[in-house]
Amino acid sequence: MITVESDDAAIRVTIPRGELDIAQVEAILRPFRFASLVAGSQMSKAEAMRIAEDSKADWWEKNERRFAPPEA
Amino acid sequence: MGEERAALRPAGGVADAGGGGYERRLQLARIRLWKSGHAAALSLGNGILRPAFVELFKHRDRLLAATRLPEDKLLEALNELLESLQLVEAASIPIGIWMQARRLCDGVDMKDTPVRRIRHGPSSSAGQMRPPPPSKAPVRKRG
Repeated sequence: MITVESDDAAIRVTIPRGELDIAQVEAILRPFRFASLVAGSQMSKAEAMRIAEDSKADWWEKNERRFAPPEA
Repeated sequence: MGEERAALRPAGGVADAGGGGYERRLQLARIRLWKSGHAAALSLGNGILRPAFVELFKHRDRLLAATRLPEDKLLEALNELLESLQLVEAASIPIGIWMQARRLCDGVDMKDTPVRRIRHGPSSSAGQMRPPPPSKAPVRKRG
């Protein structure tokens, strides 16, 4: 049985050995690690969207010919 | 499937980019591709096209400036992100899957629906928002 304990300092999740293998635990923890790493980010959603749009525009400009029909 | 199609259809044929509807349509498109059972579609369900990651790296200075995170922390986050993603070779995705993605995302940002070019021809401009064409042009395949 998986249990969760929390206090002011930390949240402790206990997973009995045999219920999940370490690879599964790693996969589950990955999003938490990512969230923890970027927790101090000051990037706004608007700026994130601008960067995403610029990235897509650059990629599209270089690759659109790959999806275009052949020249007649 | 009926519900998915209804949600994916742009209201009044007008593109709805940036709002909840747009996100929902993309999400449903991924679900639909996932359900199709094709290996490439499965990859698209939780994957990313390889060049997209290169583009992300190009903007690393902007990411550093905007997040104000230390570089080592941002790189560590990037590593976690890479571990979570399945990189997909665009060339391995059959034309039928591209067409299906295009159909499901009809009316949204053209940069998210690259196969739109196949149907609309070379005069289409990149990144332009546009409603679906009034008539059904024949599909042209490469080669």
